Formats: sequence, structure tokens, C-alpha cells
Amino acid sequence: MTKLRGRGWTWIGLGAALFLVLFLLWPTLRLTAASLASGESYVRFFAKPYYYEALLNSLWLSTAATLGSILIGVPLAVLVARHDIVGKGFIRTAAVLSLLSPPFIGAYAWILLLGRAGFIPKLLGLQGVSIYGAGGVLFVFIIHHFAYVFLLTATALTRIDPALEEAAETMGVRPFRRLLTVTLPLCWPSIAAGALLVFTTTLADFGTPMLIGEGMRTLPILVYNEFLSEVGGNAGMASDGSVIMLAIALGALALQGWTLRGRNYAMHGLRTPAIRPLPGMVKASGIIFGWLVAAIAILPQAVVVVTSFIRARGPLFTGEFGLDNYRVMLDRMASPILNTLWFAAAATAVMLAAGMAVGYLLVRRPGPVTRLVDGLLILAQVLPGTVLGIGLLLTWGRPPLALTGTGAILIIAYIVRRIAYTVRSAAAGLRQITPAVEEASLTLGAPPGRTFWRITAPLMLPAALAGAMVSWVSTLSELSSTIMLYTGRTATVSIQIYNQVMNDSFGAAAALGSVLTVLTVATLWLTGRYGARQDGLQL
Amino acid sequence: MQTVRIKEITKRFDQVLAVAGVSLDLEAGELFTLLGPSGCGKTTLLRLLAGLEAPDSGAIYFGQQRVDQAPVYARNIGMVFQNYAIFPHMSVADNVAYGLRARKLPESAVKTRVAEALEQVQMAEYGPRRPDQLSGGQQQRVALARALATRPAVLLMDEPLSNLDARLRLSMRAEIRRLQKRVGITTIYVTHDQEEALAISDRIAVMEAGRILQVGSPVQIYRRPAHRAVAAFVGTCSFIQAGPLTLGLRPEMVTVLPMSQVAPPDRELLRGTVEEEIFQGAFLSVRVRLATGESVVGLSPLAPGTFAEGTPVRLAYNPAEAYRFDGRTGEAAL
Repeated sequence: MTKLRGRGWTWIGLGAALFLVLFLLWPTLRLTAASLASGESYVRFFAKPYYYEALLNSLWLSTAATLGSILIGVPLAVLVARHDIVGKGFIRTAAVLSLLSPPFIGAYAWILLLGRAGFIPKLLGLQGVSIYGAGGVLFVFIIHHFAYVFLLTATALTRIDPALEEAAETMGVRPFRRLLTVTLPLCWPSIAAGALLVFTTTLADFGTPMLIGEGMRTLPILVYNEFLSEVGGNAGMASDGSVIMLAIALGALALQGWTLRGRNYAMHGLRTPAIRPLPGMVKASGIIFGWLVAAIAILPQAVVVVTSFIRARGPLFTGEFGLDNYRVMLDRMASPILNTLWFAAAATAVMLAAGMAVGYLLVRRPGPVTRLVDGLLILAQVLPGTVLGIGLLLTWGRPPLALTGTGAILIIAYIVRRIAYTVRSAAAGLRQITPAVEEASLTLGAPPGRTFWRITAPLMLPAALAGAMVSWVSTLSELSSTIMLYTGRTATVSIQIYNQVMNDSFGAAAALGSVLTVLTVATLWLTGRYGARQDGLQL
Repeated sequence: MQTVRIKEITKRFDQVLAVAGVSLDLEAGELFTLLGPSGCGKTTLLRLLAGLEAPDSGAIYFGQQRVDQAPVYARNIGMVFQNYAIFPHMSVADNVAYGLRARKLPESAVKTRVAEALEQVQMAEYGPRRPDQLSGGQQQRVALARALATRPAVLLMDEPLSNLDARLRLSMRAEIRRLQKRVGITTIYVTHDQEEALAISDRIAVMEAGRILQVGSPVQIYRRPAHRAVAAFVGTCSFIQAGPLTLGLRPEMVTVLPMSQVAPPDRELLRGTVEEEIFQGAFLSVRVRLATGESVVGLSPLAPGTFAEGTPVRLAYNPAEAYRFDGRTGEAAL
């Protein structure tokens, strides 16, 4: 077939591979090489509690957050996808919102709710309940990431061929046992995909432990401090920490792959599974559970928006309503807002165009270059943002091509970090389209270019847009690589929120956070209107 | 109307020889069927004709023009796919207009040609509909209209009826045949359904393992199979070893006789025991096991229940009718 086709796609594939090699693989390898060159620093890393405690903290926090997300996400998915509980739309929307809001905004909102001067302790007269500390970090991690597991599992549950479950039941298996022995094992690939996402994002999350960890060191914090602190910092330790983080992320990826070996369940069900009624008591507890989780998940957004209209003095809100916070924000922080919009828009435009092209390559043009791009995208998905940031600084920080401090390096970092969402979603969309449709266009006299624009691209577009929406929203609030790469001139909204919270200036932070929330909700609403389905996201 | 000439076409996928040096000459306006089991290379050969695959060697001519190196979109073909491949994001009319617009026809001409094409398949009213509002049979008609609208040199059809239910398959089959004759377009039709091939074709090529075993009219293919595999694939045929030859017997050539019944003259007789009696409505079909271990199927007009399993019977056939194949090569022997 190759003989009759143009070379254009080969060049596009090579271009994508080159971009990822230059801005992902090469920086990662340089960082790793620099770190491994001085092997003795690892000895110091593992000898000093100051360093290795960060590793242990990160490991147990991410592992616990992953398990917690499975424990909440899977039962919730079963309830919503398979049973007759009420308020499913609310639960789904809350989950999507919690996922797409920046986790450090959650951390900050929980400070308002459960911090030292928090609303809840004040209202209820509670003493000793606080969001600060390891428990609080874990709580915020779970409540912000369970939606990965929930959404992916819910989608998988609606795609299972009901005949398989009916077969189990004809053999005399009760529904609950059937769920454990047939249904959930069939969903395992999706559960595992969600679990990996939870693990790698919480592992790389810099903002949450920084804001509420009370000095708790995790790997991203260690790396940030060692790399940027002006006194006593140790760039060598920063790269060692980065390499260890990368190694853990790759280890998690390998573990996930290992649990998936031999589990390629293609479903050919013609029917979708039925919604089954639950007995009264179970149903009532299911509804309470679902609503409670959804309410807690969405609470931070609500708090941020409400408090943005309350006057603040430092970390204290006065209780008077007004637009002061927005005035302060617009007076002093207009440029970060414009930066965020411009960087995210530029990155998303590239991601949508390149994402469709690469998605097409992955599905329709397998080959060595395509496999390379696919592998690099997996690396991009598990690579912590801080690590990418340091790698980019190391590699592109000096002439001939000094990108440090420019908007370009941020846009590049965003593309590298988030394009996989668009690519995977576009590819999944294209897999639903039989190649015969494109062949039909060719036989009707449309050359390959015309065929791509008239047939392939329009058919892929809804899925690609859904992916680009996730890329866009998660780029708006990107913090962990931005914080390594920004300068005063290129600061973004997420940087400003982080700085304002660190400086106890909660009012402006709330206004900025509301801007992000409104942008997120508006994006969801728009894509929802144009037919891209939220629950079918390819995360 | 155009002739199609295929010369020594070969196509490999990795190590598998999908089409092994096939040569064929198609007459202008005929409906020519490629028939064979799945994996025999018939679809690959069709895709080579379309230009969706490139041959490793050989040549293809449409009329006087050599086309095997031409890209798909320049070959002026029409193709109907197994799953119809209707563009789901376009209306029925836009689907049919697609090839005309690719050829840069003025929009007024596109309109008349679309109306004409939809008229031909009795779908004139359906122009503004979306494809997902159509039944399988209607999608099939749209696919046909779309393929014919450009007035292609050759029409290629890849198992076009396999996704329809049995009843619809029969009526569409007749309709395709009628339309093909009326338009007079040279058509290459791929199917694994021998009954469909016999009913629809002017000529049939039976394929196996990338090679053509026999080319002929439906009657020739059925009555004078050139190869043991042709007899086995088209219709039912039992085979028995007779020295260096293999005899092929169609059920209608063999009468099953209870031991009590007298055999008619001029008939060869075989002895065996009943394996299975199958009620077919108008007659019984009986599978009989010979002493050699071979199975032969014959017919009987007697009442159901006559041939219980294990009953000894005789089989009578006319040796002049039986097919003779070379026991080693499988080719027809004189």
C-alpha cells in the first residue's frame, strides 16, 4: 500500500518525533546523565533522612492516594453506570470539575475551609481538626483524583457485553459475586489506567503538599527547593531527586503494564448493559455515598468562587461582600491572566492540529517512527512536570537557542505535557471509523489530501476536540513545570495563585481561582454543546 | 463499457502469497465474480484492481490503458464495500455527490447526476436524509448510487450483500443484476457465497490459495468442475477413491436404495451403512458410510424414517455422469 501513498505522512511523523526528542527525550536524558555522572550524590541521598524521607513520603502518599481513589472511584462507577441511583448528572459533573480544577486550588480552598482560621472549625466549634499535614495532603489528593478511576471505570462498565454477565448469572452466580468475578475483572484495564494516572499525577503534584504539607517534604518539593533556593541549594540533589521521581513513575508504568499482560478484552457487545434496581437500603446508602463524594469534590470550587466576592485582609476574610478582590486582580495581575490565556491558546492550537495528525499516524500508519512517537508520548504522560522543567532549563537554557524566560519555552512545555490527551482521544475516535470510509473516498476520485480533509478530519474532530478540551483546561492550571520555567514577565495565573497563597493574600487568590474555574466550566459547557462527551474522555 | 485485463498479477503480504500470478480477461459489460473461501485472495485481487493495494508484479489494463501504477483516485472506478462505507457526516445526497465534486463538476451538473443516481436505485426521496436514518438495505442502495454516479469505467463490489438478512439479500441480488445490465458496466463481484455467485454472474473465477482454479459460466462451473476443489466448494460433492482417480458425485447423481429394492440397469452400485438421514422437504438426503471409510451423500424419494442409522443400503449412480479427477493433482481427468 505504501507504494501508492504520498510521503507527506512520513515527514509529519518524523517532525513529531523530532519535536518530542528535542524537548522531551533529550532534556530527560541530559538530566539523567548529569545526575548519574556523579554517583556519589546518590550515596548522600540515601544516607541523609532529609533526602530519603522525601522519597518515602512521596511513595506512600501516592500509593495511598491511588488505593483510596480505587476504593472510592470503582464503587461509585458501579453505582452510576449500572444502578438506579438519582443525581447521576450531578455526580458526573462534580467528578469532571474536580478533575479539571487545579489540585492546588483544592488545597487552598481546603485551607479556607479547614485551615487555622477555617470556616468549618469556626462554625462547628471544632478543635484539632485541620487540613494541614500528611493526612490533609492525602485527603486532597484522593478527592481530586478519584475521578480518573471513576470516569474511566464508568465508561468501561457501559461497554461490557451484557451477554458475559448474563452467562455468569445463568451459572447460578449471585449479582455481587458476578460483579467481583466477571464485571470488575473485565474493567481492570480501565481501572488500572485510572490508577496509573492517579499515581503519576499525585507523585508529581508540587502545589498541594507545598501549601498544606506543613513543611512535609515530597520529591517535587525537594527538587524545587534544591534547584531554586538561593542559599544552600544543591542542583545535583535536584537532578538526583528528578531521576528518582522519573524512575518511580516508569516503575509504576511497568507495574501497570504487568497487571495488564494478556488482558486485551475487545468487546463486541451489541447491547449496552441494563440499569439494575437496587434494594431500598443499599440504594439509599449508595445515593448518600455518591452525593457526599460529589459534594466534597465540588466544594473547593464553590468556596473559591464565593470567597472571591468577600473582602479579605491578608488571610482573613472580613465577611463583607464586594468586588475588591477582582479590582486588585485586574490592577495588579492582568498580565498573568493574559499570559495564561495566550500560552494555553497557542499550546492548544498546536495540540489540536498536531494531535489529530499524530492520532492519525498511530491508528493508520504503524511503523518504527510511529512506535517511537507512541513511546515518547507515554514518557510525556508519566514524566513529572518539575523534572521536565529542569530538563528544559538544562538543555535549552543557553545559546545557541536560549529559550529560558520566554513564553515559547512554557508553550513547548505545555505541549509536551498535555498533547497526549488530544492524541489519545483523536486516535480512539479514529479507531471507531472503518478504513473503508477513507478507501471509498479514494475510489470516488478524491486524492489522499482531499480525503483527509473531507472525510478523516471531520470524523475525527469531535473526539480530538474532547481531548483538546482536556489539554486546554489542564494547561490553564499547569503549575509544576511552569514554576521551574517562568520569569516575572511570563508568570501565569497558577503562579500568581501560588504566590498569593504563600503570601497569605487570599482575596486575590480567590479571584484568580474563580477565573480558572469559570474558564473550566465554560469550556466544559461549550464542548458539551458541540457534542463532545465528557464521560467518554480518553484520559 | 470497458474490458479489463489482468496479467500475471502477484501480491505478497510478508511471507504469504495472497495472489499468485493471476491472469484474467474480462469482457466489456460482463458481471464477473471472484468466488472462493475466505483467505483465497479474492478480496486482495479486487483491492489490487481498485489500487488500494499495489501489486508486486504483473499488469492491469482497463481497456487499452495500463492502470496498475495509477493511484486509486485516478483509476475512474466505482466501489461498493462490504460495510457500505457511507460517509456518516454527510447527507445521502452529499454522499452521492462526493465523487462528482472531486471531479470538479459544476454544481448544476452535480445536482442532476445525483438525482439520476438516486432515481436508479429508487432512493429519489432520500437525498436530504442522514445515513444513520437508513436501514441496511437503503445504505446498500446509496452505496451503489454513489459508486455509479461518476459513471466509472469499472464497478468493483466486495461482498456487498453479506451484511443483509437472507430475504433482503435475495431481492438486492436481483436488483444489482438488473441495474448492472441496464447501465452495462463491467463489474467485478467478490463473494464467498457460491449460491449467490451462481445466481448473479455472467462468469465466475473460482479461487483457492491465491490461484484461479477455473473460469467459466455458472453452468460450466457447477456441471463441469475443472478441479476437485471447485466441485467441493460449489454445491455439495462426495469423493471416492477409484484407483489413480478420484470420483466426484453430487447428491443428485446418487440414488439411495434399501437392500430390498432392485437396482435400475446401467448403474454402478456401492454398498454401505446409513450414517444420517436428513429430511429436506421434497426428498431425503442420506449420508452413507462405505466399507472404505468414505462418506457419500445421495438422495431418496422414500418416506422419512426409511433409513435408520446403521441400516445397510446400496447406492446407485451413472458412471458417465460422475466427475473424474486426478487423485494426485485434483485436476479434472478425461
